[in-house]
Order: sequence, then structure tokens, then C-alpha cells
Amino acid sequence: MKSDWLKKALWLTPLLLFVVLGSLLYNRLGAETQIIPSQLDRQLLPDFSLENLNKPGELLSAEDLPKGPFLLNVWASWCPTCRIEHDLLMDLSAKGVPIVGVDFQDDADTARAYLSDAGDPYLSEPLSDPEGLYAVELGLTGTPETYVIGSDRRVYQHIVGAIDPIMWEQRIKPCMDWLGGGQSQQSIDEAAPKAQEICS
Amino acid sequence: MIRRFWLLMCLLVGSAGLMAAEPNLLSTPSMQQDYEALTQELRCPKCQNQNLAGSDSQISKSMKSLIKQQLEAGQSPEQIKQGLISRYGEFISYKPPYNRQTFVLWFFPPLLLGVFMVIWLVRYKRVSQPVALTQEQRDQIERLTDTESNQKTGDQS
Repeated sequence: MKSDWLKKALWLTPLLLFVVLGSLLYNRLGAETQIIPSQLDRQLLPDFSLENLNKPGELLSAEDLPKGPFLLNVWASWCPTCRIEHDLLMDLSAKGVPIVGVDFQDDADTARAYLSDAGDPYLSEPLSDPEGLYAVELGLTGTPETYVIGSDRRVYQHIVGAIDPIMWEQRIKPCMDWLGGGQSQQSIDEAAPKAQEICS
Repeated sequence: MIRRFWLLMCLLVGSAGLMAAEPNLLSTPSMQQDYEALTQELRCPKCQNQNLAGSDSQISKSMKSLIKQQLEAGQSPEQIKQGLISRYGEFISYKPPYNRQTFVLWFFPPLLLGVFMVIWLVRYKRVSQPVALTQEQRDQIERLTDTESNQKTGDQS
């Protein structure tokens, strides 16, 4: 009698497995697919002391960053995806979007040649991070990556990979517009839900 | 021929060992040990199925030189690991901590093993127990063996 019951229960195993697996997968439908969520989200941009790519020997720090919201773009002259992204950066810079560049693990001469050849979209002097140690502070995975920084020096977006015009229009520009619209008067906690909504 | 084969094998094995060696060592053997343990345990964020030791990606190089610098500066391996976790998340470590989020990750495999053991034990016990046949089954056997021997005799004739 008892073994009969066990036999029936065993027959139900595939169904049970299916239900468990199905509900696990269903839960992930439409969920965030980014494997590594940025740890910098709404955190202060880490401090730095990096060499000016154009004037070797001159050190730049967070004090030299723009006051308003800006983009921080990590790039390298050896990186083909950065080349793809470059035209858009030039466009944005022409439209007046402040972009700060961090040159990652690069040879300074090659990097300077790259900028004089393809154009320099970076507002302040490009920063040089030859060993990539600041990139680790930023939680970088690979070039190019772009960070949206608010006037409060906090990171509001961290975009892995090249940005494109559609992403700029739909995801980055709304966030930057909101950041430029005087959100800095609000405290971080007050602004958090709105930031979540607009800058996610 | 065989000797040549072994010579070749020795050469191949030897060169693999050379390639795996890290060129610049840290100043003390214990630091070097910590360095090797950390680069084994931490994941490369770019190539997500490799650890830092096995990865040649740009960011792994940066992370490895950061680990070296911090070890030389006297930081403990745990401090360095926590520092990198604060930058990249728990994901960066191949040894996730025990907490509510990782509960399933840690305890599902032993649980599954336990379940299979129980099923196996139950089945094993059932098979090894001598089963008493019912009268009906005994009759059935009788009938079957009878027909078989009948058939055999039929064949012989």
C-alpha cells in the first residue's frame, strides 16, 4: 500500500521539477539582465590623482572636474569599440555635453595621436590611467564604459560598452536633464526614488 | 622512438610550467602566497568564467597590479578582497559568503544529495527484502512454468 503511494509520487517528479523550474524561469522574465550591478550606484565618484594626458607631469584631481552633471568616459586608443563610440562623443561634445575622459592602460603618445586624429571630445584635459588602477576603483570591466555623474559628484548611471544615439536619447539624456534641473537641492534620500525611476 | 616521445613530452610539460610562472615576484614568499591565493579566488569581471590568475584581460592586469601594490603596502588579503568586493560586488569572489541570498547556492546540492540518498535507500531496502508471493501469483507461476514445459515436450515430439 505504502509502496504504491511512493510509486505514484515518483511519477509526479517530472511535473514537480517542471513547476519548480518553470516558476524560477518565470520569475526572471523581464528582470535585469546585467550580471554585475554597479556598486557605484548613487555613490560618490572615487577620488583620484591622475596625470594630465596632454601635459605629462601635471596631476589632476576631483577638484578639476566640471561642477554640473557630466559624463565620465573610460577609453583607450587600442580599443576598437571606443573608435565606434567616438563619433557620438564628438557629436555630444559639439552639443555642449561635458565629457571627461579617462585613458585606460594606454601609451600616452599613441593616445594623443588618436585624439588629434579622431578629434578630442573631452571637455577638460583627458586623464591618463596607465596602470588602470583608477579603473578598478570605478568597478570597470572593460573599455569603453561611461558614467553619468551628478553635480553632487555621485554616480547615477554606469553604462558598460559603447553608447549609441538611441541609448543616449532614451536612457542617458533624460537622466542628465533631470540631474541638471536642480535636483541637488533635494537630499539624496528624497531624490532616490526619482533617480531610480529616471536614471535606471 | 619511445625515448624520443618521452623527451618531447618532458619538453612540453616543462614549457607549460614556465608559461604559467608569474614573472615578477613579490618581496616575501608569504606575500607571494597571498597573491596567488587571491588571484585564484577572485573572478575576472570581464571574462566571467576565469579567475584573475588565468585571465589576461586588461582589467585583470590592473586588478593584479593593484593587489600586488596593496600587499606590498602591508594590507591583509582579507582587506584587499573586501576592497574589490566593494567595487565589483560579491560576484567578484568565487567563494560567496553564507547569507540569505546565497542559501540556495550553498545548500541545494547537499540537500539534493540527501534526497537522492533517501530515495536510493528506500528502493534498496525494498529490493533486498524477500517478498512473499500471494496465492494468485504462485498460481500464475505454476501456470506459466507448466505451459513452458508443455511447449518443450511438444517441440521434442
